Amino acid sequence: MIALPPERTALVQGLRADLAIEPLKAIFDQLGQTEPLVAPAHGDMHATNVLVRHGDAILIDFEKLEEHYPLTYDPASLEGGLVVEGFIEDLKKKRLTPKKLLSMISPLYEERALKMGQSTFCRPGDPTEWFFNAVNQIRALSWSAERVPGQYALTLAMCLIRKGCNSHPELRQKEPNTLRAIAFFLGQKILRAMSPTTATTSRGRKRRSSGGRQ
Amino acid sequence: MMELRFQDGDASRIVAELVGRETERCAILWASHVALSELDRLVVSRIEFPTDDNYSDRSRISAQLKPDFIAQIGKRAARENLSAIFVHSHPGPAPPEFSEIDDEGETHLARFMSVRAPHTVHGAVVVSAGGWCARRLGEKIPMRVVSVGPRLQVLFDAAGPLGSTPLKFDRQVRALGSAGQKYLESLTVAIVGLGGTGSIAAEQLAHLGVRKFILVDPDRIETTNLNRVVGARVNDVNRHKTDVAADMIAQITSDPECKRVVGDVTRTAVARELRAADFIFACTDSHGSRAVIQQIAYQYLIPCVDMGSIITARAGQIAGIHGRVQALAPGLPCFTCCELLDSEEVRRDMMNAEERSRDQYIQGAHEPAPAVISINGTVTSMAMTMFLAMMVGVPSAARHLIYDARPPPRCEPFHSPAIRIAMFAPREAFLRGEICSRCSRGTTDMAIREFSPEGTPRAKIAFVGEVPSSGDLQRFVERKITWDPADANQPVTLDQLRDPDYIAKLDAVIWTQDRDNLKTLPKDLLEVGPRLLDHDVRVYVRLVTDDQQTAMPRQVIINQLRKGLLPTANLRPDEWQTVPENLRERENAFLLPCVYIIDTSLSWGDIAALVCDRPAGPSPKMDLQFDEKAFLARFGPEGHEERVMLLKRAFWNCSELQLISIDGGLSGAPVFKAYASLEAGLVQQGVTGAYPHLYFAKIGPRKKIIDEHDQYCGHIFEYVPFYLGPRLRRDRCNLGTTQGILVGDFVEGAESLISCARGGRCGHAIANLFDKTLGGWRKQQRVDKEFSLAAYLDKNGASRDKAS
Repeated sequence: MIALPPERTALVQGLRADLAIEPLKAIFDQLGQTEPLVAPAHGDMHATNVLVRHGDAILIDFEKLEEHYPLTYDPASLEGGLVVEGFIEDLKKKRLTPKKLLSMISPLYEERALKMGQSTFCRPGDPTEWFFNAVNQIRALSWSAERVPGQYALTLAMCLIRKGCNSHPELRQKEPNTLRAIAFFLGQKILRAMSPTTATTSRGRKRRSSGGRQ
Repeated sequence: MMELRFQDGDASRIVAELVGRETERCAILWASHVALSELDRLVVSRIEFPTDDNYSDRSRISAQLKPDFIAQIGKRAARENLSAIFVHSHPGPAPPEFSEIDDEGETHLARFMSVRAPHTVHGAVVVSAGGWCARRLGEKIPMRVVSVGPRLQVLFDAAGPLGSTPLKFDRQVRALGSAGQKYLESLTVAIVGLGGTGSIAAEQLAHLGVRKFILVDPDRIETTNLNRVVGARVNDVNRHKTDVAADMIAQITSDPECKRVVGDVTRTAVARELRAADFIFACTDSHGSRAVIQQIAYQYLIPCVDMGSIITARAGQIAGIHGRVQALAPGLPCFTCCELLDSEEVRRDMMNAEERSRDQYIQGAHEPAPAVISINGTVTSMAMTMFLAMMVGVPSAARHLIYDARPPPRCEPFHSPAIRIAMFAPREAFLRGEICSRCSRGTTDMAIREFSPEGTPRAKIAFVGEVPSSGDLQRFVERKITWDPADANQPVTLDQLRDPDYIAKLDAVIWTQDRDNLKTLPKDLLEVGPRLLDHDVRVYVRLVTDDQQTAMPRQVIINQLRKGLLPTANLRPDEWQTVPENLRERENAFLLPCVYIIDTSLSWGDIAALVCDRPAGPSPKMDLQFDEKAFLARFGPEGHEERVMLLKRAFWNCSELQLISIDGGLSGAPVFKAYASLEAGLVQQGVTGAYPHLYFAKIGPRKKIIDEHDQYCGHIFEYVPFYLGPRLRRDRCNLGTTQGILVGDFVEGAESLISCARGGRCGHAIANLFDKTLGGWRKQQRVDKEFSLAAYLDKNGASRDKAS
């Protein structure tokens, strides 16, 4: 079982998200009982393992290749990777505050936005405009990876939570913990929104709305 | 028509004995008579020169043999059923002709011979410095004289090249000459086997102008032949291959004469049909048929070209493409000399050393072999040129060619094209016994090894403990493996094995356990073994049996190897089970370098074969220059020496290396950008020095590197387009004791998706990522009914977590 590293708990609490993994795992297990489409997968497709040259995407680092793995995994990892790696400079140079960032990108993680075929837009000229474009495109190309609607959202939630919990020591020097906390929060938000149980749903909605207003 | 055939050397012997002497002289040729419907062929088996006593009269312009000598000849011809050919010389440089005196003398002689030996025909030959002339004894029927060797020479042909050649051969006559073209048209060519190579041979021969064929094949066209049998169409399925070939020939050349023989050449009746041929193409794939054809070629003095191609494939990947074209004629080595009449030997003969080491797959006897028309075409064309060289003197000396379509796996010099013909070389060898006078193993070595830029082969071994007897050492010498010092059969000392310069040149160490002191070897092995493996030296351990036949000697070794984490091969299944999961590499195979455990029963000859088949890679570049300190800082001191050695082996032909660390360092296998300056000779040095080549190099635990390498081989090379994934340089990837290195071409001029996306330029890239880069994988998608999405994503959660 994974857990949030201690240095991130305060940040996550600040976003008014739960720290406990078990309930999330329960929701995940409940929703994940669907048949996936499987194919070979890269297994570690974060944004620095994809190189771009003249519009061609070149993949490197095949260490974690899987012979059979859900088709939704690679695109979800890529999207998750953009969350935790895409805004490092913005936060370091204080061009964006974490709250501002979260409020700008959270429309992408509304329940509605994760339905098949949806695109979500931001205001033109926002500093997160590139992120919306990239995410919309990744999702547009990934709906076909779903066997059952909602599988991409579920995979994405799991990727975001894992990224939020990643406690590799070298990460500490490289990126602000805030982005990992935001990833954890967004993953949780997706799961709560998808959860069929009313009790968790209401709590999830509360969190989500509070998150949205920040 | 009559024809006299003898071996290459016979003509010069006769000329030397008879021509240019003070008096006329005689010779008797003993020959077998091959009676065919349109041809009487006399094949010479022996030459006899009468002694001075045998002449009754001899002058500058005449020579007469004594009646009692003639009587002996008649008696012998009758007893042995041989044809006698009476040869005498004429003085002067003019082309010889039979004189009236000859005519008269021959009349008597012919009458006598026809009484004494009536069941065969006899001949008369006159030879001078101007050439040859021959006829049937006592008659005016001219007899063609042919000398057969690596090149066939027609010494006399009364029919001669008459008439003009058809216009369609205009371009060919310009190359072969009018006489050559006419000669080609007069030939009867047999093709044994009309499959992948034979059908192409038939087509090319018809185009060359050959009109008379003997087509031999027992089979009918099958659907699986349609990919490569030239001339076969869909509706030819189930027709005899001989008929299909004859039809094709008829479409190319007018009024051809095709004798169709539906049958297996290993049957005597079928084989006998080949005697009418002037030349044989052996296009079969069985050893039996080769043996038969070889016998006919040497016995009846009919030159032959044998050809074969082989594609070795393992696990769906082509391991080698090879062809062999070999001429059989007096003066050239037979299959037996070349040790080609054993199926396993044939296959191995066509491989270079590296491929042999990797090829542990033995093709089943009846398993259909892979076959591709282009390879057959290449091989047949080589054979056809050899045919022209032998029959009409096209200037090409090669009589044994080996074709290797793939560059040797260890030699990918940077300027080499991907596919090249590795080496064409004529082989020298000799006749032995009745067929061939001498077979020499050394001469069958292929020149290919000397020329392949694989670096200096190590081919040097060391013995620890026991040194084999000189007879057994010979098994190594035969395989060109030597030891140091070559004259002293001394085991090496541990001190020598501690010397890096010494072991860098070593191929293998063969270590024999000491029966009286079982503990020594394990201890020593643990001390020097890791370094030996890091240098890519192959370690073979010969176990002894103790007096009580216990498992003790084996156990101490296995335990110690386990303790030292040395990769070990040839384990028993129960021992394999005890290997920790994270160190298991291959269950029924092994990866090199490793310690190979040898059972006591293995002979030295087998050990020599093992060593020879698994040669070590190129010697490491001991003085490779690179920033060792930075390298040390990146990894820390533990395992530093091994990593340095991996670099020196991977970049063995480089002089200098610049390493730039490029990874995030999360995966445990750091990645470097490596600028490697190749050594002089491989690249041209300009005024600014050698241009460095850019690679990526990934160094990590041995098992991790093996797994990733397997992923590349299994899923990436096949499915990810070559320009959208990293290309591994498999010749530079290698393993040490505990670590390994992957080297590939660095993706230059690219930016990461993040910076691209942030710049708003990632639209194409993301579309291409899913459509093109991952397209090959996505097309394999299937619904998994066994495991749910949650089960999948949870399965490897813990390990996956680390770097995501």
